Amino acid sequence: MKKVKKKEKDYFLFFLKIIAILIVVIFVFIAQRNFDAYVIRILTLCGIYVILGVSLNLINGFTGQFSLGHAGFMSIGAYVSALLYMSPELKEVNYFITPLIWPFSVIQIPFFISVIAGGIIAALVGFLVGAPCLRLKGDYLAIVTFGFSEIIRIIFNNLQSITNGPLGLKGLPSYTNLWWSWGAAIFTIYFISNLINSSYGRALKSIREDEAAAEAMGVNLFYHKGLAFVVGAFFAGIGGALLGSLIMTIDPNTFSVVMTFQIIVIVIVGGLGSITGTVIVATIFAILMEFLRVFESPMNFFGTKLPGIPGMRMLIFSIILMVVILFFKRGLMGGKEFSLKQFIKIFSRDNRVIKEGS
Amino acid sequence: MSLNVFLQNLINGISLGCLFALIAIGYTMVYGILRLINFAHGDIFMMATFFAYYAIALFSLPWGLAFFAAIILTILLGITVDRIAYRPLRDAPRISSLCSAIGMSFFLQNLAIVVFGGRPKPFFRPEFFDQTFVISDIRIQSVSLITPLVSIFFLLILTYIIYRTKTGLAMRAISKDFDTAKLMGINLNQTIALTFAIGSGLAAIGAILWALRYPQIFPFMGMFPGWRAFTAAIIGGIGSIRGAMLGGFLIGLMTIMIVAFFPEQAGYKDAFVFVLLIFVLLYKPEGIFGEE
Amino acid sequence: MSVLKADHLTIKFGGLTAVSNFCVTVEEGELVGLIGPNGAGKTTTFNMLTGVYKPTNGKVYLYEQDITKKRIDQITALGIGRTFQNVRLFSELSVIENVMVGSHLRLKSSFFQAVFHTPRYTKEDEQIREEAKQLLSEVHLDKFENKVAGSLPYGEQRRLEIARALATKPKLLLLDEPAAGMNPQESRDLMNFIQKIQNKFKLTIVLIEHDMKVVMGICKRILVLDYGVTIAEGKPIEIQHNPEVIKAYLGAEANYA
Repeated sequence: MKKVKKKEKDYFLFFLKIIAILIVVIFVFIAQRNFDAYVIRILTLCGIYVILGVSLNLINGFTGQFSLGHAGFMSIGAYVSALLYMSPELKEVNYFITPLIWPFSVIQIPFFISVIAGGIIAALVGFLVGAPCLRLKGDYLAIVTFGFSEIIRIIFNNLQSITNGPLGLKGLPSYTNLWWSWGAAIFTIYFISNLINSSYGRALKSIREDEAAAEAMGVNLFYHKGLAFVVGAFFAGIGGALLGSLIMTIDPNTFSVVMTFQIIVIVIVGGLGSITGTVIVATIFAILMEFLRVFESPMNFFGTKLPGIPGMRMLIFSIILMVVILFFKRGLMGGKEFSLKQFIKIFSRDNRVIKEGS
Repeated sequence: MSLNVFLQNLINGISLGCLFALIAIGYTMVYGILRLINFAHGDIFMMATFFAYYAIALFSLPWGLAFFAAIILTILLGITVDRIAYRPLRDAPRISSLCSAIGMSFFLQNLAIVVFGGRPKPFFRPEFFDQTFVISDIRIQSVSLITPLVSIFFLLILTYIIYRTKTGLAMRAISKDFDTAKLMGINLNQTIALTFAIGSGLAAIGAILWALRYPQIFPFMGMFPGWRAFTAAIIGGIGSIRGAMLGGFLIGLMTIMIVAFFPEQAGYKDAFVFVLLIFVLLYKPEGIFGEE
Repeated sequence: MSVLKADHLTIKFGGLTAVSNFCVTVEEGELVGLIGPNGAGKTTTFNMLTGVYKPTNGKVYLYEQDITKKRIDQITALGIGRTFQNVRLFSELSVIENVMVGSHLRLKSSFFQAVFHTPRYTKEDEQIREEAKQLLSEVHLDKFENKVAGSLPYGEQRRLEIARALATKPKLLLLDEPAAGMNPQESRDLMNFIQKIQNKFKLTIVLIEHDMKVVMGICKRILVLDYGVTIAEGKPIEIQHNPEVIKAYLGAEANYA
């Protein structure tokens, strides 16, 4: 009897998930056709922030390893993919001071593959960075990851024959659209939430809770922390690659610590250890970032012209961040998830049939 | 490289090292007591230069008075940062204070952009600091000579406070054992506030000397001096004041010498600092003078 | 074949010798007590057996395999489970998740199978959950299954820690002061419980206890540590009357008679 109900519930959940994805697909479809380019751009950005936020939350929130290196992984994804999808002609135009070295100067591969390649190289670097640092804890790990991200930025600024140095890459083809960004976002959410809800996810969370106890329960710390870093870096690379093609101009300083800060804001405000919180806050963040632009451009206020205040947006975000840290210590969702299971719970009469995790 | 050029670089390096030492002390003292990396310290440093700038530009104070006012304001800022961002989280998990420190740094930078503007501003350099001495072919700016003198003077005062006064004893007690110190009736919040005051005051002195040396100020200027100073604190052994001084000198000399000896690699000088930081953290996290 | 053999384990911290020349051989199915006053080096010994500390000298063998240089998680995988003196649960995870973490090391599915929830993984996960439930009912915690571990009362947390250790499928179980903080009645119940799970899971157990009376009833053999030195070994009755032991305990704690 119980078994049957459980099966039914599983199918129902699966069905709901499909519906949720369908809604997103239909929404994207309608948006792509009817909304203007500006709105579409913002929505595309939402998807990218979701990818970045969720992947950072895997490292910082679920595994409890406070990383400040996300911008570094993003820049690797952005540069690697751009070097692969730019046409040789475009490269020649960009690299007019120091020519691009062979073989990058001649190859061009499809966007999709180059984005994946960006993710893979970022993951590889994530492993190389992670491997020596994983025995550090807390703030020391934060510093070291920040250091690595800055080293990547400095190297990219100086490696002119590959990255074009501080001049950056301009006029990148704009492949990233709503489909790419939300497609990747849904895959990221799917991948990471499945990971969290698997045996591996339990191991990661146990590391966050108590490293020594986790190790005594047979969890290989090095392997699992490395895993979190590699997966997080992979999706950061994907996010960076998509972002590069969306904003069409990248230079090493695009991916400075300010970028990491933005993602940290999303993760902390959404709640360390809550995917739904991250998704909601990432979306709000992207929209608010645009909305708050009004402060930064001149405006008419009852006939008086007020000058715009540059930097106001980030100031407001830093205030929100501080308020959340000081007054809502666990973030918006406080490590909990808004889940379809709860959704069913609300609509089902027999609350006791559906129990979390049963 | 001739001996003269080397000597010139050496003096430059020592003078820069003094600045790092002044900033590093703020990091090391706060870490020693709260086990917290005050990410906002570099930004407090930055704010000091703007205070001095506006004291001269807006209120047209004479430079001596302007610098003094800037130091006082920076001290108040340091205490406020502790009061708002760190004190409420004293009993929270360390990750919360870390987030708060990052948030505070982010906040101060953006505040500076909004209030002072993002574009670099030229820092006023009084004539007194603008002379150049030529001693048998070695050209030295007066700032480079004044900096070590001022720094050493204040570092001596600091050493006196830490090792010879009751307040200093309280600080050392807290850094040895937070909870026991509390039981012994040490006023924690007051002592911690004083720590922030000293750290910020020294950072302000460092900041003004820095701005006299590189007379351009902007909201993100605190970041790299901040990180180099932090590296200095780690190398010396975080929590150790002597260590911070020694680390500061090492980092100052290193950056100057990299630029002098390997001019074509100069773009990587901050990368070298970070590599050094990472290596020390990985292989000798207790630094030169630190305890396990 | 002995389950555990410690051969002249010595560990020094700086100049201080915390444990010196600790030797023991534990046979299949034994329940050995390791007692001694506070600070005698009992937990340090456990930490050497489980790989947390690497001994300065000496070797540890599990089923005659040298495990001295192995990592903590490898040692757990080879069959030593443990609990901690001050309960260390994954307090924000649910009770059942705590137990399921213990099964992670025996997971056969690969990472990608787990992430994509392939049928094989789903089946294995179900099985792990079933086993965890059984373990929980074994320690009478099944009704708390979905509660957050940190919210359990202290005694329940202790039992959960044992269940979690059992989930790693140990052959040898090391219990670090399982009765700490319990009153005499609770301690007696716990000792009965330990005996029960020993029979049920065919375990070999070494347990640390600070209070000698607690272990007298269930341990057939007792080792006494004092200042890192093994001062006595034998049957409870012999230990009880060993002058050295009495001296050690009277010196440390006057209430033992």
